[in-house]
Amino acid sequence: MKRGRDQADYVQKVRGDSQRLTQSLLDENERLRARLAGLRTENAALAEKARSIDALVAANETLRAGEATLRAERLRFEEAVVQLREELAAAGRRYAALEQRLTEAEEESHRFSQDYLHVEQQNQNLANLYVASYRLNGTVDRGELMLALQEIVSNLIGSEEMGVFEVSENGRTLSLAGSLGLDPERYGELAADRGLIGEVLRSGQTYVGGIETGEVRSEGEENLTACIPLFVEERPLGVIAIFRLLSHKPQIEDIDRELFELLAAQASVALYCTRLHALHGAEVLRA
Amino acid sequence: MAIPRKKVLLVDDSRTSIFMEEMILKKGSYDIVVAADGQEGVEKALAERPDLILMDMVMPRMNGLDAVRELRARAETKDIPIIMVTTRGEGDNVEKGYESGVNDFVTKPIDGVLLLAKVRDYLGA
Repeated sequence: MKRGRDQADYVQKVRGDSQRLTQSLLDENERLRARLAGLRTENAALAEKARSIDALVAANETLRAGEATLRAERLRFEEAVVQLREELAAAGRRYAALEQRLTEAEEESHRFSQDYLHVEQQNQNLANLYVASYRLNGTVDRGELMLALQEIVSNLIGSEEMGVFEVSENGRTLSLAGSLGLDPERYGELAADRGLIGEVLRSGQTYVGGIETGEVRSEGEENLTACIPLFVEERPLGVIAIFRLLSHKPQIEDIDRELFELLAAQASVALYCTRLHALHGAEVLRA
Repeated sequence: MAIPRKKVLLVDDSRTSIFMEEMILKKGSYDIVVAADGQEGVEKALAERPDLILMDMVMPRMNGLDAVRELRARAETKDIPIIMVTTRGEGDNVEKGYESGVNDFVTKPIDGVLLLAKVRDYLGA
């Protein structure tokens, strides 16, 4: 009986142990399940984190690639900037050269304009001399010559007060042979040895007002502007006296001086020819 | 087709002045017609119908101002530009000139460059 009790106790004990073991196993199982669930959750979280890290790595790779591209772009950009700066500098030099050429061209154009005006002026001067010469040598008629002299003084020199004076036979007086704008009463006869006109007749030098200093003017010479001697073979024939200039003609110019020289040379010969023609023209033309 | 040359009438009793004007206008290739006084100037203007007239002021028979008035009074010549070429370039004369119908003035001694520039300006050539 004791043995039976012992067996029952033993069975009971085993049963209890088994139950405890089972319970322990169940508890352990439960704990492991919970642990497994936790691990799964952790695993999922880690997987998620791993994906994020992959994404970050990928993004980082992309960034690195982008950075390299940017670096390359920046390099190209910097090279382009350098090239552009060089081109800009070259363009600046070309612009400066063009500006220089433009300035030179403008200066040249200005010089050409000045030269053109100078040539035109010379042309006009030559034309004046040609016209005067043509008119002086175009006639042997005394009246026509006087008219030509008046026109030359009036139209080419610019005075409407002039007189052509001839030396009288005795050489002591000057007679008014032709005039424009002068009073014949006052200027009909002048002393050949007085004043500026007398000095021109004596010296054979053209007088132009404003050059000589300390000049002595006789009565009637107050407005004398120029006086041109008329000589043939060193013998005085007379003078051309030019008085007031036209109001818009301020002074005697270089071309006027050239005309004076031409008048001194050609008007004297022309005047001499008209005298010869008056004396012997008919006879010569008959021969 | 050749472009017809412009015609310029020179009215002046001074042969020197006419000669000078002719020499200046030769540079412009114009046909030149000449008259020795205002009366002849009017007649030539009516007969020749010039494109421009250079008119002296003081002339025998008919002076420049009367000639200009005559030309302005006639339908055939009233629009022809007239440049007065004169030794008398003072204010009063200029005023009378403009009143009579003158378009412009040039004083003697003639400045060739100026005259040619004015002629070209009026003729456009």
